[in-house]
Order: sequence, then C-alpha cells, then structure tokens
Amino acid sequence: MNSSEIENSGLSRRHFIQGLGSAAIAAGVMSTSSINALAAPFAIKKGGVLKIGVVGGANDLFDANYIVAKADQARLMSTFETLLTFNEKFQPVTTNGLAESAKANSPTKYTIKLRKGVKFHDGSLLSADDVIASFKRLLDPAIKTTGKPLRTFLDPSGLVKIDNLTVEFNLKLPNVDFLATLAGYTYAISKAGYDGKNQIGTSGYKLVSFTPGRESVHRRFNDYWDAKNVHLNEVRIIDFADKTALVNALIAKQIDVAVDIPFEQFKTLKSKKYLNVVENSAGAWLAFCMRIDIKPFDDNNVRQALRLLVDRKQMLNRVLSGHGKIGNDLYGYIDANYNANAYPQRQQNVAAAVALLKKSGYSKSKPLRVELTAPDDTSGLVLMIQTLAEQAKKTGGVVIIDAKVIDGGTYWSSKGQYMNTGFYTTYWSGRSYLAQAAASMDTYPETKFPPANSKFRKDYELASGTINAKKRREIIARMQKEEFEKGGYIIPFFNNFADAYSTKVVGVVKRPAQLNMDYYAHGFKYISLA
Amino acid sequence: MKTSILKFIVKRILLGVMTLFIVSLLIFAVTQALPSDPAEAILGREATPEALAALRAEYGLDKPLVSQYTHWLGGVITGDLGTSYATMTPVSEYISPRVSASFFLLLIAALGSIPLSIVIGANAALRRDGKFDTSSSLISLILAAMPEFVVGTILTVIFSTTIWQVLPAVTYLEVGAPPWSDIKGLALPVLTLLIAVTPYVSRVMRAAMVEVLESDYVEMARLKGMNERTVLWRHAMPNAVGPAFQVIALNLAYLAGGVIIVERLYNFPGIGSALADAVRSRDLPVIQYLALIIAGVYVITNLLADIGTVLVTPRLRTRLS
Repeated sequence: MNSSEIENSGLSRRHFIQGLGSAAIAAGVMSTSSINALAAPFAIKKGGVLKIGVVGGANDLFDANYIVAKADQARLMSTFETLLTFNEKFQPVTTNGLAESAKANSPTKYTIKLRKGVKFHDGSLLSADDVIASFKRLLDPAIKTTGKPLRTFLDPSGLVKIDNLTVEFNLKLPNVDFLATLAGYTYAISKAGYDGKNQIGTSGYKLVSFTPGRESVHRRFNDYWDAKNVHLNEVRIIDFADKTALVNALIAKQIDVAVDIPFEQFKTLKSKKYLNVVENSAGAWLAFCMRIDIKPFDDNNVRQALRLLVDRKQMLNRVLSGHGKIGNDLYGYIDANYNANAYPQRQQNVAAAVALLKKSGYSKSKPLRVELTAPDDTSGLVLMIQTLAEQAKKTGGVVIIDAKVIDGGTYWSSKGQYMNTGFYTTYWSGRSYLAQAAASMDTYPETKFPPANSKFRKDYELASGTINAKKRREIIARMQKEEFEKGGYIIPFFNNFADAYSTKVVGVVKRPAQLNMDYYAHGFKYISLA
Repeated sequence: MKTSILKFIVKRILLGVMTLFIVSLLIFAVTQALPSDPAEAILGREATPEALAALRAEYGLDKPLVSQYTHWLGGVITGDLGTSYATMTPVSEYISPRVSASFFLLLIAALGSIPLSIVIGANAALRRDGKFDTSSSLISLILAAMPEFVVGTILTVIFSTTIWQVLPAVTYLEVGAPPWSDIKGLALPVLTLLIAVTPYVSRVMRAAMVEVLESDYVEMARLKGMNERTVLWRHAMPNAVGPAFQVIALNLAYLAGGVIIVERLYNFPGIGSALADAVRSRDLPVIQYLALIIAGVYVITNLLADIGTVLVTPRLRTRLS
C-alpha cells in the first residue's frame, strides 16, 4: 500500500477529548423530548446483528473515561452513559442521560438527581456512590483519563452525596459551562470500584468480548432502563486497518455501517442506492500552532503575516474536498458567542503579509525561513502543511516554509514536535469557547498564549463566573479580540465528518452531533435492522 | 550416499540457526534505533517522569542493552515472549492466531501456485514460440510488473465492489474462529498472492525446462526411442524443477513479508497487519517476534528448497555421494 493510503487512516490518533457544548447555563429545567419523536414513525423490527466498521488497531483501548481513536469512542459509547448529553444545539439535556434532573444553584454549585432504577450490566443498581467514584477516578492524576481539564475547577472533596440518588458538585472555581462539561462523553459513569478492565456500564448493550485490533461484541441488556428503545440482539464493532478496506467492506455489504468515511469517497457512496450517507459538523478544527514564545513567532508581525498568507478556501478544498467551514483563526464554532465581534472573514492577502514582514526586517534577500511539521498518522494535517508551504511561494521567496512529515509516534511524544517546536499542527473536537480557552491555555498550552502582560486569563475567570449572558458575551468578545489580533493559532477551517450505512439500518438520527452516527446512537439505541 | 545427504542437511540446519542468531541481533539493534522510546509512545502526553520511570522499570527498559537482549533471546527460546505494549496481553496470545491465519493463507497460495506455475512453465517450454508460450509469456510479464496492491485493488473492483458483487471485499474472521471458517473471504487474498507469485515461477520453470530439453541426456533419451511422455516426466522434469524450487522458496519467503500489503488490503487478521500496527505503536516485543518469524520463514523455505533441489536433481544427488 502506498503511503497516502496509509495516511488515510485519518483523524484517529491522539485523544479526541470529550466535546463540550455551548455555554448554556439552562438552570434547572431540561427537556427529555426530541429524539424519541424523531425515531418513531416506522415499524421497528426487533433482533439482528449490527456490524459496524471503524478504523482501529492493536492499541485499541476500552475505558469509560479515556479514548485515543474512533474505535475507542464507539466502544465507550456502546457500554457507558453520561449524566447528561447534548441536544442538536449542543446544549446539555437529560435525554439519554443518567440524570433525571440537573440544577445550577450558582456558578460553583450544581445538583444532579439520578434516574431511579438504573441497573448496571451486572444487575446492581446505580447510586450516587457510583457517580462520585467515577468523578474521583477522573480527578485522579495517577489514572490515565480525559479528566485533566476537570481538575482545574473541581476537587474530590467537592463531590457530595446528598442522598442515594442525589449528588452535589461544589466547584472551587466558578464555571458556567459545568453542565455541558458533564455531557462530555468521556465523563461517563462506571460502577464504584471500576479499574478500567472490567467494562460494566449502564447502556443498552453489555460487553461480551473485546479483542484489540479485531472486534468487540455487545449483546442486548434486557434490564436496561430505557429497554423499549433497544432493538438489536447484538452489535459488533469491527476494526479495519485502513479506510480503503472499510469502504470496500461496506460496498460489498459485509458491514452495515462504515464510521468516518474519507471525503474522496463521499459522492461514490452517496450515489449507491443501498447506502445512506450522513454528514455532520460540530466545530471540530485543524490548526497550525505558532508558539508565541519561540523565535521568530514571538514577533506578532510574523504571526499575523502567516495568517494572511493562507488561502483558506483552497486549503479546505484540497484537504477536505470542501467538507467543512472556513475558519477565521477563532475557535468555539458551536458556541453562541463564536466570533462575537463579527470580524469579517480573513482573506489571503500576500501584499499585506509581505508588508508586515518587511516591518520586521524580512525580505527576499533575508527571507523568513521556518520549519512546519505534521504527524504522518493524521491525513488532514499532512495535506495542510504541504498546501501552506505551496501557498507561501506566492510571497516570491520572502517566506519559505519547509514542510516536514514526522512519524506519529515521535511527533506526539513528550519530546516530539507537538508542543515543543515553534510551528506545528494540531486538531481538536468542537467545544464551547470558554472550555476551549481553558484547554488551550492550561491543559494543552499549544501556543503558550496568552503572553505574560495579557488580561486574557483574568477575563477567562471573569467570564466563567458570569451568569448574565450579555455581560459574558462582552467579556468573551474582548478575549476573542486579543486572540484575533495577537493569537498563535491559524485556524483555516472547521472539519466535518461523515458516516455511510446500509439502507437496512433504520433509526439513524440526522442532527448536529459531535460523534459519528449521532453519538453512536447513544450506545446504539433507536437502531434496528429492516 | 544417505549419510552424505544427512551430513549436508545437518550442515544446512546449523547454518540456518546461525543465520537466525545473527538476524536476532540485527532485529534487536534496529528496534533500539527507532525514534522515541516505547515508554513515551505508550504514555504519550499523559507521561509524567514518575510514570515513565515506572514503566521503563516494568519493561526492563532501564537495564543495559546486553541484558535486555539476552533476556529477550532467553524468552524467545523458552517461549516467553513478553507482553505486547499495545494490547497489554501476552505476545503469544495476541500473535498465535495471527500466525496460523497468515500461514494458512500462504499455504493455500503455495499449494495453488506451485503446480500451476510448473504446468504453465513446462507447457510453454514444450511448445516453444507457440501460441501458448507467447500468450502466457505476455500475460505473466504484465502481471509480474504489477505490485500486489494494484492487483488486489483491481480484483476487488472486479469481484466485490464495482463490477460484480460476488466475493467478499474483506476477510472477516470471528475471534477464535479458524482461518478456514471464511473460505469465501480468502478467495481474493489467495488470488492476489497467486498472481504475485505464479508469473515469476512459471518464467523460471520455462527457462529451466527449455535448457533441459536441449541437453544431451534428453537428446540421448529420445534417440533411445523412449516416448516423449517418459522423456518429459522421467528425464527432463526432475532436472528442471530444481532451479524452480529455489525461485519458489524465494517467492514464498518474500510473501511472508510481502503479505503485509495483501493483509492490509483485505483487512486480513494476520501477522502482516499486526507488524504494521506494531511499528506504529512502538510495540517492540511484537515487532521483534514477528521479524524473527519472518526471518525464520526465509531460512526454512530456503533450507527446504536446497534439500528439495538436491533430492530431485539426479546430477546433484550423485555429486554429493
């Protein structure tokens, strides 16, 4: 197989961390409506085995609170459930969640009441103790989970059991986004005493077997709390080494669902009468990172010039065959406060870029020569650096970008190019503005923004404790201004993702979602085979 | 005569063991040279200095290289292959089903390609410059020029996805099921391997046969008035098959490594896909073991070919005695 086909394994390597939703502090009342209504009108046939293909390998993992690749996401979702989930506007709701109600008492105090009679796959009843144990696990720095962002504003001592079905979360720092945090899919609830090895969750299908790099088998759990929406006998999540084989297997009708299809195949698959294609956008993004503390990127002229150099439309077409939305160097696309200052779209402006660089002393005779790296395990990133290097040639030699593809194992390692060099690439799933600001500032300080003299961090803390939406928007607008004018990210676009499935598969909900197949149908609920 | 052949075999086996030992040194050295150490690859960005140190101690990565090597070699000999860094399960448990699946695939490909190429090659030689000879030459030249993934992709397009949908596009083996449980799913991988090997071997078979048919002893046999069938099967074939054995061996050995591409194309759960995976995740115990297995296949097939050649070729047999 040639290298581009191997690279096609796509956005699958690093953590996808849980996606966090919009900053709605919908105090108290939450809907339990939408999905059931959407899934109703056809006659549902019970039974059958659903075969789902997804790119995975020997380093597949299975954990309630940690994932690396899409295969891990699918398996987590098949077995574990969260307290809250997101609706199509990325607001936290109780639908499909283990919470019966969620209440924000203040930006530092939240009360969660659990559904009655929820059973784990081993038959035991879900209680407040399990919730507290699950969050203690997430807060434990010795255990590899995606709980790192949580630790900045929650301590284990803040988890309080009110009664057998009620938990109070007392935060040490205000966080108006907290209910959205609870809807993050890796903040799932496992049984107290969970060690990451015995996969006992509360979902509609219980795990029968799991072989890394091959497949996992999940069988219907008859004591599920929402049993009326569980229709299949069995779900098989099958690993594929690469996307070519995955797509071929779907076309040859060997599997029912192909998760995360390559966009080059989008039209072909869509044109097949026996297949459906569902495309989604949830504000996931790919970006170039410039470390604002490393030469020459410590010079804002250089950063702004490089931002002006990008032909975003061409890049989107080349990297994602156009399946995405053009970005403006700001993140938080699914947030109501995205681009709060309504900045016009940044366009390629080579003359302006060259002028900025001239101010900093760069010219044809003294060019700005920089190395830009991407890991070989993430197809979009490789094409991105190659495209940018090509686009930089328009400066007539003022900017020279050496695009280098690095072996993924090296790139993401602790001494690798990621986070340790001046100019490299990254990707993120979509989340609210404030959650992303925190993640980019502290959890993964990719650009080392904000600089020491900045008010950005203060503003972040202020916004996180501001319930008044209008006031919060004003603060966020201020933060975004600083990032737009001085930030270290170049965000050329937000990427979509797409799945293809057989028309035999009934009940797939098409609505904005952060995970493939509408959050893997919340553990393959609502799905039946015709 | 028998003792001399036995001596020859023993000598070759000893040489093979020596080769494997040197290969094991090389494999170990090369895997040490891979950028980024396994503890870092496993822990990734969650790595803390304490966790890294603990993991290095657990896997013995903090020990001197020589003791790491002897520990590993000792494990290979005693059958304790360690734990896969990626799957966190014993290497033998992870690899064994894949080894048998890949060997089954190779076996079927070999059983199909050997007689097929001998028949094609011999027939082409017998009717030299005839219609069969020219057309088979042309076809095998075209097929030999195509890399496996092109052949495989074309076969998939023809038989599974675009033109007809008669054969599975991927092999789907349930975990724990033997490789022959999905015979239909084996069709395309086997066909791809057949196409990869048969052209070479049939070309060599043809050349050897042509040479033999022109030799004095065949001429002699004909002059003695033997019928053509006896000349061909008793006198020509044994002498021509010898060189073909060597090429068959080389091709099978090549397949043991080259099967990676075919396995990936058909999502076949064998050693090829496991090796590609292991290299990505710096799963050193798996890489080292698989590399040794592939080297072992080389050594053993070549050994068998040498012995086979000696046994079937009358003049070599006589020379040894």
